[in-house]
Amino acid sequence: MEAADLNRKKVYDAVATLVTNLHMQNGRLSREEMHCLLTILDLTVMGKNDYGLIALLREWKSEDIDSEIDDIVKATLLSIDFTNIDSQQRNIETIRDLLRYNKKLRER
Amino acid sequence: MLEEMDLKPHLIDLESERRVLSSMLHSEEACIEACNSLQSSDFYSPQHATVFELTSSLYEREIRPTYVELIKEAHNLGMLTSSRDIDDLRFIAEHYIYDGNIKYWLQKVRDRSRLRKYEGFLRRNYQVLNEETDQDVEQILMAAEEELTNLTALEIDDHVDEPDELAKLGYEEVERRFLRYKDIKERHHGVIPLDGLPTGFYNLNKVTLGYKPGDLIILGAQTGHGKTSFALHTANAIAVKDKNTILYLNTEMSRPQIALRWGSILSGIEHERVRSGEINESELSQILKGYSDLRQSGFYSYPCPNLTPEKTISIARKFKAQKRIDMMIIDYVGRMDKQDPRLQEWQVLEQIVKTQKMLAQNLQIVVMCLVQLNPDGSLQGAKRMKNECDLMLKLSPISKEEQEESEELKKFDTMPNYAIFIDKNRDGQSGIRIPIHFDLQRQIMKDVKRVSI
Repeated sequence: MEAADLNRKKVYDAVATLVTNLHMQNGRLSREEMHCLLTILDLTVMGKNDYGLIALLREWKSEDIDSEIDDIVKATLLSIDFTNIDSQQRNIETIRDLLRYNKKLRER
Repeated sequence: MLEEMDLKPHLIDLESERRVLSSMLHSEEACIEACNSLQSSDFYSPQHATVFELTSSLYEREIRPTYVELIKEAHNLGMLTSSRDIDDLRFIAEHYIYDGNIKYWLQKVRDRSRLRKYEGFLRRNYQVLNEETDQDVEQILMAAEEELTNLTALEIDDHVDEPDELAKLGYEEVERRFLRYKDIKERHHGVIPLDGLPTGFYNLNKVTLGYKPGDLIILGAQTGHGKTSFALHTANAIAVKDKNTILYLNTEMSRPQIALRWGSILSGIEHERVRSGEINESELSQILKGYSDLRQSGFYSYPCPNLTPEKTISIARKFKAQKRIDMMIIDYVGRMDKQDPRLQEWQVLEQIVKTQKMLAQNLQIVVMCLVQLNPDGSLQGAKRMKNECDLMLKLSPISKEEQEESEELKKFDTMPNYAIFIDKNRDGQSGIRIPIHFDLQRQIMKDVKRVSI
């Protein structure tokens, strides 16, 4: 097995276990948060179609976000039904709008 | 007492079980192999059997079984109650293997499972020997022999027909055909209902009674003589019009090329105009209507430039399990990658055709392989291919001279310009030439009707 492939598998398994334990062990993540983070992990590592979500999440975390908008982005993220493409695309568009709005706020 | 004895360590191989499960969670190919060759009862550990069942169930529901999906599934079912459960799952997932070695680990799990069954057989028979006082020795030995034979000689899906079973099957087949013939005479006014999938041609339906599950069909044509058009015509008849499910593997064309072909076939508008966009608004809505038919069809396309015989097996198994395909079309066999460069062309073709026949029978689907004919109309390795297939068809154009000179061809409503030659038909007549009309511009093939005698 190639070292890169082995590392990818190890990191993936370790992160998935960590996220699950944060819910199971000490309740620092809610059930919804755990499911959402696990799904995002799968989208990132397993090369599933993310419809631009990962790039958007990078943008979200790298920018200075208004705390209220931050909460709304998080709530929108948690409400995505990842088994439904329409739900994914609709909510990704909402997050994109929120980040655009945040940018405008910061520019003022 | 034997029944109180624990199993010997060499009858249990927990490491191999974990390696198989880990590979299922990290590779889709491995998952297909494992689902196809193991059952949950092959695992010694009940925990491993449960993980296998959950993983297989995800796969059958078209959810790619990853470690994350397994956690979510187990959590939703209330099977993860403590962090110990997570640690157990992680321990299994971390038994990484090189995915190409899956067959080795599968064999190890299967072998241990068979040995445990043998051990169970010995225990039961030892108990019988100890308990029964008034024994029918002959009966005990016969029962033991049967059980042992099943354990050693036969795989799970093997079946030997007893004489009475074969006689029953034969009678049922004849009775079914008798009733169908009666039905044709009374209700269908002589039009024969099909035994299998429609071919898309009236006369070919009549001769073959349709493509039947387990059939391997070979269609040969020279380059540029309509192999792909024939394949898509077949797909149109089976998946669009008759709503069955087809998997179409194409080694040459891109996704947009295949999609554009359908636009032309389903709208009846010239392919060149569809391709260049030289169409009016009413034609655009005609094409839209065509695609709406395609959307509701059972046509699954898998463009795959690096197709190998092994890959066709795993793809077919996956689509059989997830989409319940009735047929698979391989367009075309000559473009498949050689696994062993030392093999001659005919040896590779023979190997491919044998694999596909086995696949058709095991999955009970129709497999159609498109092959390229030589410029003189012959087929490389033809004899071997002919031996393996159930139906061999050759598609070729009718020359301009023949069209002008043949009185026979003038008896049809449309001048035939192509012919399908039935070179072999395991289930009926062969040596028959069926004239058809191939509208090259619209990529449409159709029957021609005889209008005079």
